[in-house]
Amino acid sequence: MHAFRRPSAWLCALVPLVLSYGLAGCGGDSGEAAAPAPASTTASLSTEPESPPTASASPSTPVIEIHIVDGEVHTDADRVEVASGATIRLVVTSDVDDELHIHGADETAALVASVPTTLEFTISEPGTFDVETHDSGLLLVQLLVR
Amino acid sequence: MSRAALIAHGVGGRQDLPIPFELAVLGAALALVVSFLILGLAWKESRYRGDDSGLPLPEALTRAADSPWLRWTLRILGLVVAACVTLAAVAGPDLATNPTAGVVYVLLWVGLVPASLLLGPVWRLVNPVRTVHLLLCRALRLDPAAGVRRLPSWVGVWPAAGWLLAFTWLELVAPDRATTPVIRAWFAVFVGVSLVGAVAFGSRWFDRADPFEAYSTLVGRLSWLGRRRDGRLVARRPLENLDGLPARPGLTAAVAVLLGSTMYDSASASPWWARWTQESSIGATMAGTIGLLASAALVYATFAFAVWCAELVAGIRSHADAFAHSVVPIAVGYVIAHYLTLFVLEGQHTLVLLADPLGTGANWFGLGDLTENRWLANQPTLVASLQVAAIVIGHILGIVSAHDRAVRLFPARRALVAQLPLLAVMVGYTVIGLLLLFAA
Repeated sequence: MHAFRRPSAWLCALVPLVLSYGLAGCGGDSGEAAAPAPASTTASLSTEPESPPTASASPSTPVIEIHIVDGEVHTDADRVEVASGATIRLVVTSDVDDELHIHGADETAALVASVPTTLEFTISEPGTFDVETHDSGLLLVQLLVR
Repeated sequence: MSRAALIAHGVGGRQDLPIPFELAVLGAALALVVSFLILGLAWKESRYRGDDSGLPLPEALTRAADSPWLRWTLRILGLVVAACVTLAAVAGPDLATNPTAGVVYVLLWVGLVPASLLLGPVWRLVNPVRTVHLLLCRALRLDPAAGVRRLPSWVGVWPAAGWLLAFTWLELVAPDRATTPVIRAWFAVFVGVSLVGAVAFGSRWFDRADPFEAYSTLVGRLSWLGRRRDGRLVARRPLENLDGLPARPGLTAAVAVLLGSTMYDSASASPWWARWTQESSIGATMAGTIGLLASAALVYATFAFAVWCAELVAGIRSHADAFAHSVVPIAVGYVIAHYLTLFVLEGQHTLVLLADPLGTGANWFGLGDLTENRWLANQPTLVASLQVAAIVIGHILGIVSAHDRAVRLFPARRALVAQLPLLAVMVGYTVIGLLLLFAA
């Protein structure tokens, strides 16, 4: 009955419980990520109307194909899991001229109407990053970098 | 980042990763079990004495806190910082390098929470609008506390609830909300209305209408530091401090806006929200406005209904806002869960931007030499654990506060059953909060 006289005692017990769960459950993934610099990215950009972009991708490179038609976004998934530091390849085809932007990673690329644009980059900091268009203001896909 | 990047978003680039499903379930289960344990085992008579309680701190500390030199130092500090930011907002380039949005949305709005948890209602001491009103009154030899009319008591903190909604709309919904013209326009209207309100009703207007003061006052009630009725500074348990929060009309609405707007912010960052607004014909601003209003209204309606049910069971009509204080810890838990990394990462970034508010390559106060520490961004497991802990702890503090109030107001034999509706809505808020962290 008097065990709850001090609610703070309960809270003190609770915090380590929740914390220890999280650390024990998946402690491995926080150890190596020690990069102190802001989400560094490397990117290359190509606009190739002829060759099918998926053909040249190595199996480990996630390729995300996105089509924008009449202001609607067509993709296989709303969210794509990506390993921290892995190369990501986006292939975006819009039916109007626009600008592609990876929010939080400072990557941009011009989109020419009906021409597939390929953007390759890496994100080396964990988090959720929005891939979006600027002129039409569409969210295309979210990258979950782990 | 280009200017266009500012238009689609508020501040901040990356967001936190969704929390692991198991962690969300663990948090929800803990919240549920501990709620019923509190209901069954906790004290049966009210223990909190609100503003009568607390361990008196040395008299000298109270004297120092109330001394004119400290008060004027804080007021001048508020004026100087406000002047710097106004300069950046008016004369600085409207680019992502302009510090205005970061100062308003991160340092001020989110920063109020840790500052108030640490030291109580601090914003009323630095509030530059309050200082401008005070200086105007001094110049005209008027009493700042006296207005043309008295503010009727039924008004309560309804004006603050309205301004809280207006600010969260600017922060989360307004088109181009991170650009300086939009922020300037909002603050021009806000400062204008505030000064008119203060002239009409005296400086009490700031207590009842200023959203930043209201926020700081609510969160400051969870501080260890408080004031006794006789003005003496005391150290007291946060929940005892919270118990002293006056149940003014509109308090439920104010806390509903705080909790509902954070829920909306979380939900609107999800891909399903984006899909829905992109495919609907009403446009992003209208959809966002409806979403924000609906979130706040949902919290208000569910909580008011739960209090109504509780009173029905208890057979007693109490004050409509008598339980609203117990939502404060839940809202603060949500805010910590949602904005912790934003505050740490974007807060540092904003300080660096403040070094050069006009884009002239300046380095004011040497702020440009700060190195941003990104350590927290690389600790997703720690962040997820802190998020769940904040939500669950906020929930438990809310349940304990509501319990103490219930056993005070309600007859003993019905006090426990009467709490069930309140417990149900609080568990609901917590489960929604965890779901949003997991799925949105």
